[in-house]
Amino acid sequence: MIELLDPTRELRSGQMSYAPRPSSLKGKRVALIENTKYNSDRLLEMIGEILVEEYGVAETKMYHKRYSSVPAHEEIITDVRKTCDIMIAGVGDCGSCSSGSVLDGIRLEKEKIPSASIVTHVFVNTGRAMAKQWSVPDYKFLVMEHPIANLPEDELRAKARAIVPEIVDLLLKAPETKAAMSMAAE
Amino acid sequence: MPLDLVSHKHRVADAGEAIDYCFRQGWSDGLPVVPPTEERVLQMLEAAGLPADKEVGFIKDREISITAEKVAINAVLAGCKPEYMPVVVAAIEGITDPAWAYHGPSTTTSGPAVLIIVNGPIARELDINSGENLFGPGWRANLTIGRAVRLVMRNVCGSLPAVLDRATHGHPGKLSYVIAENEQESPWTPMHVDRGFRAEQSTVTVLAADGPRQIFNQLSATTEGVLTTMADDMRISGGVVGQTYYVVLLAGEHMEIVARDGWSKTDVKRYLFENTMNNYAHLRRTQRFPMPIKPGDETRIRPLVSHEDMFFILPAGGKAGAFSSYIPGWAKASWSRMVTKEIKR
Repeated sequence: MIELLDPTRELRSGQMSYAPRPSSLKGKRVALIENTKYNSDRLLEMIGEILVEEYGVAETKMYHKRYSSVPAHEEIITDVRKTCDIMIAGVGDCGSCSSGSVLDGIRLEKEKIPSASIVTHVFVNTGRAMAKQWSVPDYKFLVMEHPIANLPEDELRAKARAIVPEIVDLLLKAPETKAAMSMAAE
Repeated sequence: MPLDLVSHKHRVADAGEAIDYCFRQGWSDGLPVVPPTEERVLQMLEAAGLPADKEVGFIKDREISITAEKVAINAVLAGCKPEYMPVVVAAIEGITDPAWAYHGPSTTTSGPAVLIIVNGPIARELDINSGENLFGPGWRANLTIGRAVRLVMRNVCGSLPAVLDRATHGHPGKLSYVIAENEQESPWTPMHVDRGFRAEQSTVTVLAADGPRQIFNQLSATTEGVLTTMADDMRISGGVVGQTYYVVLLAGEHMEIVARDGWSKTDVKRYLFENTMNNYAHLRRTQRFPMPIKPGDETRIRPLVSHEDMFFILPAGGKAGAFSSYIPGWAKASWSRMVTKEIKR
């Protein structure tokens, strides 16, 4: 019999604690954090326009990351916390940027800002792995079909239109965590 | 020195079973590993003079603290000798430096590896290859030090292929990508001295990098002739428009020509800078930049790198053969910096 030492980080699994949700988006200020990938800013702009026109959002504010492979820098986080009520991040369509956008959502939920992060479908497991790294394996993010960088304007708009209901749903109603579900059962 | 180990212990029947067990646990890069027993792990820590709980690196974007204990366990898995441990530790300090910016180069679809360049006396002491078959097999230090770094990335940082390491192709350097500079036969100051260290210090330089690309020129007897071939090959390479780093490895026959002609490193860098430029029209036509071509694009110049000092010129490789190589860094230099750390012993 011999004993082997575990070479891994030995992650512990925690529970995501979502920010409190508003009852509607009316009058809310929405931060859009784009990750500098081609078409990301256009897609978030289109989503922002729909939220203003159809859901009564007061204003949107576009933030640009330094580059695609990093989480939002500290100045963005601080400014969003001070001047916005809601955050939408994306669009993760590569390895380092999809997990980066997921991280932006987790960070801002911790800052009590209801958030929606969008990644493309081929990077779902990467986003999920990032959530696990932050010990919140059940963190909910949104998924859009890959790719977006090479899409023409009309197809991009159709994608924005299709995902808005999911965004609104996530921003108004926090997903049930296992802890909350077990409390409800009691 | 506190050497109390806190890692979870897994019981297996014997050493043979241990190798299969490590595969099943997902701890291996695909090759058999050395079973990480307490005795071997303690030898690693002792060789580096590190307490088990010492934090070797911290990655903010992942909230990951990498302890000496975890580095030692992975160095055992990789097949390192205990005396390699200080080199592995310095390389981990390098890739967890905020300037290296771990998340991007480790997760990206573009698939760079961690190029590890060892300088100073330790390279000779540990027999880290700087000569023939530079990137090839045959040297335990070259193959296991880089492997240990990759296993830390995999097992501690979660950089699993197809999960948090989304490389589309990657390259074989992701198994191990360790070289030393041929300082003994160089006409120049070694790389670590250029980067502010003393010659008697030993250092590790880490760079997120593509695979090496070899060039061939046996017709030239002049430096300019050799570098013409090099520059022509480099002009469209790496990400082309990203403006990253380049490590240029001049091997035996080419290096002899350059040394005989008395070119300085600066002369070589300047020549390469001036002869690797592209024009915008070509970069748009070939879809590196968005179309359409604008007036003036045929003569508007895009240098391959932002400054001649983004070329790093090193003598390395075998004595025989009219070959040299270059290695493009990842994406843009500003996204992940080349980092040099002293190897502490």
